[in-house]
Amino acid sequence: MKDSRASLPLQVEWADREAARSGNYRRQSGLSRRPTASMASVVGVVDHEDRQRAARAGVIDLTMVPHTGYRGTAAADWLAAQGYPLPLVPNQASTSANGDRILRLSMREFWLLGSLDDLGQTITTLPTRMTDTPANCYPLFCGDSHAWLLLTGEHIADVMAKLCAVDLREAQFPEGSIAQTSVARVGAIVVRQQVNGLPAFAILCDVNSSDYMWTVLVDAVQEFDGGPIGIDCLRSGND
Amino acid sequence: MNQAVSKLTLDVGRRLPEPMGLMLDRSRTVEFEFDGRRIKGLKGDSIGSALLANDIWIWSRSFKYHRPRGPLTMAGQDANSLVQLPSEPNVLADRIAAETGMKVSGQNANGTVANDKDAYLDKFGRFMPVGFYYRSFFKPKGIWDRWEKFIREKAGLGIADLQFQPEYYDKKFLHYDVVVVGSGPAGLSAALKAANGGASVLLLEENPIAGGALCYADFDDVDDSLVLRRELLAAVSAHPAITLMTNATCNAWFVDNWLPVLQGKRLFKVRAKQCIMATGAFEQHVVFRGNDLPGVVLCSAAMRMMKLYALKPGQTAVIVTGNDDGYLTALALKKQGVQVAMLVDMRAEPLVQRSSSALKKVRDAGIPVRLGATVYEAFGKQHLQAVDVRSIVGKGQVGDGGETVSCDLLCMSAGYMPAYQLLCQAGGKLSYADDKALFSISGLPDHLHIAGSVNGVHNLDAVMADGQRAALKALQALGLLDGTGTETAESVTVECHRQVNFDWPIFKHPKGKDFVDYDEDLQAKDIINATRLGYRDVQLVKRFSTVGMGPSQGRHSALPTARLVASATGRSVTETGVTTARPPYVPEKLAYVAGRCFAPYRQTAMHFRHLELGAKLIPAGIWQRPGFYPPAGQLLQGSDASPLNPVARKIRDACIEAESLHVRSRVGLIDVSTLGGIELRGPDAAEFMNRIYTFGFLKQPVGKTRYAVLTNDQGVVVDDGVACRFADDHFYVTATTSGVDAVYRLMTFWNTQWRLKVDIANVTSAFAAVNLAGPDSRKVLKPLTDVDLSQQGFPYLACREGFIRVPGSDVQIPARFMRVGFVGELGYEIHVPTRYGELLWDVLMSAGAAFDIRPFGVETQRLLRLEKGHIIISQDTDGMSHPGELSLEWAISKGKPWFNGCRAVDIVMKRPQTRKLVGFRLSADLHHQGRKPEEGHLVLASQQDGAAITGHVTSCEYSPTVGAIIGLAYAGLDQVEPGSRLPIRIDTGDLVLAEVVSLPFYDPEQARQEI
Repeated sequence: MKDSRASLPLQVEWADREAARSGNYRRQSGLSRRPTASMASVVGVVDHEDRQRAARAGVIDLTMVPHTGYRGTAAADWLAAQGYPLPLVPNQASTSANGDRILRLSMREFWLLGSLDDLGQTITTLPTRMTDTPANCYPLFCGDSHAWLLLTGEHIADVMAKLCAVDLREAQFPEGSIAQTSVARVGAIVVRQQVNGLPAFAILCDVNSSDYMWTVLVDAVQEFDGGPIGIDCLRSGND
Repeated sequence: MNQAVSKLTLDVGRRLPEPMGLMLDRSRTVEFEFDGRRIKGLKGDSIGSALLANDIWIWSRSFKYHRPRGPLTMAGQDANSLVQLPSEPNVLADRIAAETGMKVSGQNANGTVANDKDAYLDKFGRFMPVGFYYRSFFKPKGIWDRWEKFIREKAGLGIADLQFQPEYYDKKFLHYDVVVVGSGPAGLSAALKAANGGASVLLLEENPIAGGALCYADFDDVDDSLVLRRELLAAVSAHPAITLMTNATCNAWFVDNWLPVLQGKRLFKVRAKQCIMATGAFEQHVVFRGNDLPGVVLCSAAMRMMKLYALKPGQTAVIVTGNDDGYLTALALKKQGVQVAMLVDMRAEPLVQRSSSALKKVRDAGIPVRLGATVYEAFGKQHLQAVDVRSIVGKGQVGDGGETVSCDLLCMSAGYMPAYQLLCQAGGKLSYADDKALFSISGLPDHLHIAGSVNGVHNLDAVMADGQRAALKALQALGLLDGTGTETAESVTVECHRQVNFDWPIFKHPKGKDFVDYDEDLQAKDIINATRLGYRDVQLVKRFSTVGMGPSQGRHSALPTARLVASATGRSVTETGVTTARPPYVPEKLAYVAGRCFAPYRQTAMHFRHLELGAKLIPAGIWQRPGFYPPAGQLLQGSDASPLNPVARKIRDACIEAESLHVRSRVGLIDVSTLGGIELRGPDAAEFMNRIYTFGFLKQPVGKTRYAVLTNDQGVVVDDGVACRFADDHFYVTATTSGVDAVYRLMTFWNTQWRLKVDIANVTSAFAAVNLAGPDSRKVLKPLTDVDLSQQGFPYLACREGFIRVPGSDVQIPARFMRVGFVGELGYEIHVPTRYGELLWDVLMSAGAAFDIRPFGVETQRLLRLEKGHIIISQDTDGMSHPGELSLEWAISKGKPWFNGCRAVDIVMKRPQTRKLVGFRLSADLHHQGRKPEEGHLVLASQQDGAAITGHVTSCEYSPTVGAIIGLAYAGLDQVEPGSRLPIRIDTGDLVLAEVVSLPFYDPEQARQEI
């Protein structure tokens, strides 16, 4: 794999206006932005072929869409009380009414991925300090520690077969399944979901490896005529 | 020899009519070059078949004797067919498709393969017996260095293209219930049976088309094998549960059916719950003088030429066989217009007449048959012209007076060897049945099955049934047979009494050139002589003679070698066995392994700011960290940046000096985001900290930090950090960059044992962090936060939570502040959520501009902490360093009952100590002379010759602040008192005498950090 880091721009004009920045925002320089609820933005549109590319094999960095997590013996009850539909068993994901994804990573650990429709607005209303949650329900730091990349399209299983030893084909890994595994030698959580009618994998990995993971994914989708996409084509009503 | 033979026209350019030519698309042509000659072929031709279509039978020259070599198997199973492409040596001409524009050349020839100037070497064969060069070129001493170049030029396989441009190869995982290796009749029937039973099936075929022997062989129990093939393939391709991969080689078997499969430019890593090996069998050659002449081929090769490529293999053929397949070949040749001058059957007459009706059919076709005879010698120079047929009078013995038969094609079949390689890699055992003269395989793992001719089954009906039997076994193991049905693996009858192997197809000739191993030019006498030289074990015979070590890996040499060694050593063939089959099965390009390897890297949130500032990045695990920041134009890259380059060293030293002096006098900023961070929250957080680390933490006040030392079960110091207490139930503890994952793992392990009420989270990546250090650091920070930064409000070793204001905006960055003294100046470590890391850097650099803030790197930080005598775990410690050696007794609580590693610490501390880490200094002159000790240099007990080693240097730098070389080193206990002299042996071999001094080197009153 060719190291593409050398050609990245050092300064990105719009980044100076945003307090929060993803680990690989320089790779999206020059593209239209869509502000999220986290004082930052993600790519709105790459080009007019986003939709077709997303249908084949699209890649987008959603790290700046708010995501968070809670852990502890009281986490399940507290989240349920907030109205979140919780998966009954670990390594399953569910979706709330507004489109937030709830990942149950163990009996006592839950991660929440912000809805692409409200761009994480609901998530930002949740507490981030343990003083604001009940005893034995600890807010996690995954919003900062983990990058959130999304792989979309009909070829996602083939793309991931090049990166991950787990069988992620739909028959073995249906929608809502979660694999806590290694992707391209980086620890990652992989979730199969439907995003605006498209099959997709959410890939959560160490945020400091997000630039690496981005290059790996973009390289892997080339075979399927895929590439970077913007978030607009993934939001409801934009199909 | 009949001279008329030399006038035989080798007119094989004309193609045979359909249905011959299964591989061909007759509407399209290809054109390429071979040894400078233009070759025309048809689409679908292999390089080799196109060469044959143009009357080119010499494809290569042999390894040692430079004998002309041509097709043998037509299946990519022998080294005779290796040719050279411009950027790729050792290409199998009979496997790789011909393409327009290819430039192909023959290998191992001086000139062209047709006119090899080194062909004279063949005449010196008797001077080059097996192992000759082991025994010839080692005396006098050093002579090998002179011979080596010559020998390497004359021998070898192909030429590597040193200008080769990298190509994109990658890897992919596949998962199936059942993987069937081999798509012959056994594989096809197994795949269909398994898929029909509900399994997902991957069917692998190494050739371009599926069907195995159905593509090229004739059978006496089916009228038209091509019709059967079509039917089976139609069923396979229509089956949604079967994936067929052609041109796909399963190149090894690893534990639990982990199968590496090569196809195109991709290595597939296949996981199979059940695996069925239907790998077939390799037809074996007959060993006689001249059995390597172009024109001498296996029966299956002649069949492939006709059926796959519509080639007429010759005008006049002789068959020498030990089974009925030779008869079928004779009939097929006759049908395609080849005159079959004679069929020579090595078997005695009664046996043949019992075995089949083949004899009658051949005789009815007018083909002369000679029973109980063999070909004893093949004649010809560049191509076969005639053969000498003799009666067999004993084991490997022939009668006097032969019959010379003119021919330009000799087809031979001595029998079959199961394609045992993958199965033996799986632990399969080979045993030889003397009555069948055949190896069989047993002892396979439960999830590995075997079917078809590799299982010793050769009748087509039985082969198909065997495939189904294996599939049923796989289905049974998968739980897909419910047990209520009547069909089980045991219910399938597989009966085959066909004898396919002739027991001794080896006819050693007094003049040799009776090849056992074509790859290595090994003759029958070479194998026998190896045993006479004492190499009686087949493994030793292999290593001495190199038999089976060539590209074909013993496919044709293993069986005759086993027989020859067994006979020569008076043992059975089973006792002799064959050499170990190891992966890979076929030669594997390194590109398959090297292709698309993943090399993860981690970048801090401030990474690109460092690049903007021209930092010299150095690796820290998989992180990239700024080592120092050279002035514009002095950032060296590649080999120029090597520490061995004096210019690079000079730049480094100058940068570190300048940066360290700046931190000591003004203010500096370093990115410490790579520092590990672990969050411990819950009512038992303090108790947990108290049990894990050596210090006491129960009474640690909120808002204070405490040094945290971690020991392991051997009493060795394995990590350290700073523990911040932000609330009674909340600790945030740092760990070393390289150690944090292990520390976190240890903590979670113990948390599951102790079941305390504490949540532990590795938040290393969640926080970006900097250390703002230097006398002016408070001034830089003050306007940016509401935290009281006064010495009273925020004293040394305190910690605070607050915000960093972003000037010119209403953004406030949540931050954790720690007053730490790692570099020995007033300083603040500031930790913020990673998303704000770059902004934090920008804000501080901007606010610090008025105070001439400068970034400093890890190398500078190492010098600064060395000046303060602070250790770095794993640089100044090793796998033996206990707290006593590191003078860390003060960091071990005496007031608590125990901690992790406590018992071992007590034990090692009570043992007589042998070494201690001490500080030393040396004159700055040595630095200017380039005689500074380096890390790892040895500390000796004295200056006497042969003095014992008492320790080694762990850190050493020139300190402009101290004005001397300073360092840390392990030393003997009698050397640790300040004022002692430490003899250190440096790179030049000289000893330098360092003075042991008290730590720290700088600011012993600790006044600077308390400002």
